[in-house]
Amino acid sequence: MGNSVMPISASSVAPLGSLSAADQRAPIRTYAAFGGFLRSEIEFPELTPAANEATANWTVVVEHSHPSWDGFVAIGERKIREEQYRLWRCPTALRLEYSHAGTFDLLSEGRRIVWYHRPDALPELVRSIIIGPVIALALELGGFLCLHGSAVTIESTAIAFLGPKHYGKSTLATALTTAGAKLLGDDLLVVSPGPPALVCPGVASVRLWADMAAALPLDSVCNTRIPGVKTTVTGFAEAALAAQPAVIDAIYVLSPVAREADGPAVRRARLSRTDATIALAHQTKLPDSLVGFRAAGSQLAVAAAVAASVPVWRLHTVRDVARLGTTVRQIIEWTCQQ
Amino acid sequence: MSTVSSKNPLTLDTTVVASSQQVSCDVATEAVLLSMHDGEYYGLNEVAATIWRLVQRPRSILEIRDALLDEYSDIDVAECERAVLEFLTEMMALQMVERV
Repeated sequence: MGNSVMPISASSVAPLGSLSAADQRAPIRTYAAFGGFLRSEIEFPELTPAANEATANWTVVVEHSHPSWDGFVAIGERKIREEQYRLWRCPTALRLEYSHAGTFDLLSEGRRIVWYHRPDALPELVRSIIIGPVIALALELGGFLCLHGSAVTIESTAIAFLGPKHYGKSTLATALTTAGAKLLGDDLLVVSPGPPALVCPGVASVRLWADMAAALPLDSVCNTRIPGVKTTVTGFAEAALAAQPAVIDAIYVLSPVAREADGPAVRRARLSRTDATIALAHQTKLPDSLVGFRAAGSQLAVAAAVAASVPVWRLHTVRDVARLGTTVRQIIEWTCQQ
Repeated sequence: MSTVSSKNPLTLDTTVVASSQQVSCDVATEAVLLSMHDGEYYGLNEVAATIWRLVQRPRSILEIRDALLDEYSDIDVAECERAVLEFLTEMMALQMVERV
């Protein structure tokens, strides 16, 4: 069977700035993200604009025809309640099929991203899939470790927070940013295994639950809040953003605990190298069930390489917004001591 | 695939090999395994990782025991044999090791 998704003819690809078919004359934009440049027909308010002449590492185009399935074989899938992701492969492409936003192809060794336009897809969701699992697939092809987490720099070194949804990664990174740290990324952390292991700057925005967005002093570091399923906080001041890859000083795997009247707001315990490798492997952005075990094995080796050079800690944080300030001060103190 | 049961326990004469249904990674002297059956990660300590490296090709449990006795001079023969049988029985239950 042939691979009819390749090549995509110029005539079938319409420029699209927003996700509305009525707005097809929007210009192609270039953004700095994940240590490279993304050129896109879709506008990404979450990303930092860059000069259009910058050489793109990835190009996002919108395709208005239906995807052909000739030659594709299933690799894996993931279900989260009603949402379903499926990953497919043909000799020249990877394809991510997402139940709520349509089909995304990754071509040319990950450099070209095609979204097959679906009129009912939420723009916020389409953008988050592209700068989430789709770009993670592209980066993993390049040997990076893509983790689900958030990161900041403190005195030019990176500290990262990993954990499942609702564990407070974004809240902690944002709270640290309001306390003088610089935001490196949220949701997708791109790690170059090194040594030294580095975190590449990611998306210059954070998605917070509305109550946290209201509780944090965001006005001191950013000027834009975009309502949605979560509040997208963006428009960070230049001084609040880390623009360069940073050597990782510590990785914290979050482990929230219930409020304790007398206990500390935060404490940490260093993981052994083997436990650290497993902890990192558990927090990859793309789960093993989706990428398949061959790719999972490659990611496990990269996780082991990172765990060999970076201290990984279990961070027990009390779920209490009133004690967030204490937690932030303690993390800064640990970082500055090292 | 053969599995271990109380009726069919491993003995020194049993030959075993690592299953193809896993991926593994050395972590210094230890190792991490990812099982394709249950999707779980398993950490192996130094001795377990040594056994794991030995079963990358078919070996009898007697061979494995003797290799460990060569490597760890301070270990008792009976204790070594018990540890090897216990570990490989667990690995077979997890379908990470197969009887040849």
